[in-house]
Amino acid sequence: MSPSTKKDAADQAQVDHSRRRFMKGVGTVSATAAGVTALKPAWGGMSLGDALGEFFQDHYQRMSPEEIAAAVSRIERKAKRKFGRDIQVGNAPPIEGVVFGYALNISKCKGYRDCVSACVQENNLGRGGQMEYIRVLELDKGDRNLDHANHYYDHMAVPQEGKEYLPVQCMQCDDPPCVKACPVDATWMEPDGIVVMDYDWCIGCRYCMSACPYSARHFNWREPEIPADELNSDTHYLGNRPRVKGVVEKCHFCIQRTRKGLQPACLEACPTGARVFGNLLDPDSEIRWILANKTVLRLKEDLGTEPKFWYYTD
Amino acid sequence: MTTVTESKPFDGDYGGKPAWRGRPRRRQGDSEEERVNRRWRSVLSCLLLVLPPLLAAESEAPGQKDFTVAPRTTELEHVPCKDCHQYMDPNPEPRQLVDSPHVAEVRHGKADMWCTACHAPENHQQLRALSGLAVDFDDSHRVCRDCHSATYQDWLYGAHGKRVGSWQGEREILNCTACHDPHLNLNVLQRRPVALPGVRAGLERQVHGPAPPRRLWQRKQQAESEESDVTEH
Ligand code: HEC
Ligand code: HEC
Ligand code: HEC
Ligand code: HEC
Repeated sequence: MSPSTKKDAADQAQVDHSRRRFMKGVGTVSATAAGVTALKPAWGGMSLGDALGEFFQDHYQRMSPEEIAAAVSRIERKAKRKFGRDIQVGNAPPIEGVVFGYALNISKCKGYRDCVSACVQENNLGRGGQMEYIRVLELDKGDRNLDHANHYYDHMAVPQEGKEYLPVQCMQCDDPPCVKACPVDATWMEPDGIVVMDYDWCIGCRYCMSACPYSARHFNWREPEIPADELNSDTHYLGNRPRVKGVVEKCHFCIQRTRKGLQPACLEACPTGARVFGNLLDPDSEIRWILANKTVLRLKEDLGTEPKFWYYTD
Repeated sequence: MTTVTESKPFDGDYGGKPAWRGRPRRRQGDSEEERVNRRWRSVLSCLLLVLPPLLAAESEAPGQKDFTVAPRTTELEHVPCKDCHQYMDPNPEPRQLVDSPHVAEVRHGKADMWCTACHAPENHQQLRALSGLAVDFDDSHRVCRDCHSATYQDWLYGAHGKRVGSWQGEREILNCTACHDPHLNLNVLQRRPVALPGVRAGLERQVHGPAPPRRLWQRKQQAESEESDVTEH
């Protein structure tokens, strides 16, 4: 991405200096060599330090805290170049004694798709319509065959007579087949039960997508396009930080929100209160009450993937 | 709380079984006095079952997290009611309120009721539950509780209605009236869904003319002929 011209001008003074230094062969790979940005288009507009740092960046789980901090600031600089905005890439660890679970009341869902658009906004999904983490399926009432479902419904008004709505998203399986399929361990389950991705480690082979029985994983076929003013600057390393072309991504229970104690964006947007989120290890949580007192079902339960996403009815 | 599905009057005889299983049997050879005593005992125990939920506040729910209910008064347009009602005599008579600037009738599902079922006739600033409890507008869920106890329980424990804010610590719950208008439109309205899901890249419908040829050489031919078109003009 091209740096802004203002920055070019500001860096002008440094250019000669750093170039001379570079020519002399002193050119140590210092991350402060900001002047190198002016030598575009080498390293895609990055400083040499950032380019090398990104290239040699390790797997999230193997990095030391210092390396993570360096990676985070690199990502923030990259977003600054791309969007001209300051973002915060959080790195909040899982909360002790918490495993997240989700429950959705099918009799309450009216198919408004408010959750879908809230998710797109919150999680910095490309606006070109490449993907949505949530798909709201429309089914004939009483039809339980998901092959008959349609999520491109476009009525003037929902809920339609004789139709039912069933939102699907990542089920955050407790025995996730996508994790087993990944040849490079770019995806794993965190201690709080969220299946996350290291986008920088993903090689884009899409094995996980074919392993997922719920079609909950999505591939960036092209560079995600997000208007800079709509970018959500509150991000998480394993969550909604800006992604690039060629990597897989998925719903992560809004890790940047839920690890801070907030509700996921889809729940907050739902006008009918069909969505319930909570801690499965807390016996007094809403979700545990629903599991104990309501008739619940999970999708494709026979596959043994143990989803942590339940559906229930009144 | 157990639910007693038996429709016959329960005479207090468990007959060695829980009351909610099988038909209540009358023990043979009991004197009339014992039977009356038993009946009294059963009436009292029924009251004990029924009273606490009517009287107690939120503490009735074991295991329920502390919660606050999102306030409503700020959302109401006709508050304070006394602006007008201090000049009017209360009139509990069910009628069409032709002159009223606010709701003039009640259409609460199939229910047949009048304002006084929920509003205290002598003090319009307060709601009144069936149990006689005076209720603030911010606590209007206590009014609904008396008639919709099952839904109320779901709401209390989080299976109905909506939590806002945090999933941990003290919860903030939306009041029933945030979603249901108790006067006219109880149920969720129809409306247009938010944006249509996008079509995956490469699968979009072609908007500008016919789709490009699939074979590479055909595309090349097409490009060449377009080029010659341009040079001709
Ligand atoms: C702008 C003036 C105004 C305000 C404010 C107002 N009312 Fe009224 N209200 C009326 C009028 C006028 C009537 C109709 C009286 C009639 O038709 O006999 C009425 C009638 C009623 C009635 C029917 C019973 C009766 O006593 O006549 C109820 C119940 C009622 N109002 C409740 C309320 C409540 C509760 C509030 C506050 C949330 C409120 N009103 C605020 C003007 C007002
Ligand atoms: C089923 C119970 C119920 C009945 C019956 C009922 N109300 Fe209400 N009313 C409520 C509740 C609960 C509120 C608080 C609404 C809220 O929180 O949005 C309310 C609010 C109001 C308000 C204030 C609304 C505002 O937006 O300012 C008025 C005025 C009112 N009622 C008038 C009436 C009148 C007049 C009748 C009879 C024709 C009536 N109500 C019948 C439960 C009831
Ligand atoms: C005096 C008893 C009473 C009170 C108080 C009461 N309701 Fe109702 N409600 C009823 C009855 C009766 C019905 C009709 C049930 C039906 O249509 O089958 C009903 C129906 C409803 C329905 C529609 C149910 C359906 O199946 O369509 C909703 C929603 C509702 N009430 C919400 C409320 C709310 C919210 C409150 C509190 C502000 C409230 N009710 C207070 C008696 C009451
Ligand atoms: C977040 C919004 C929301 C809140 C808060 C809420 N409800 Fe509902 N309620 C709904 C929706 C959505 C339905 C389904 C309506 C439909 O199917 O048309 C519903 C349905 C109902 C029904 C019909 C029977 C049923 O269970 O389907 C009743 C009765 C009812 N609500 C009462 C209440 C009461 C009492 C409260 C407060 C204690 C409350 N609601 C709070 C959204 C809400």
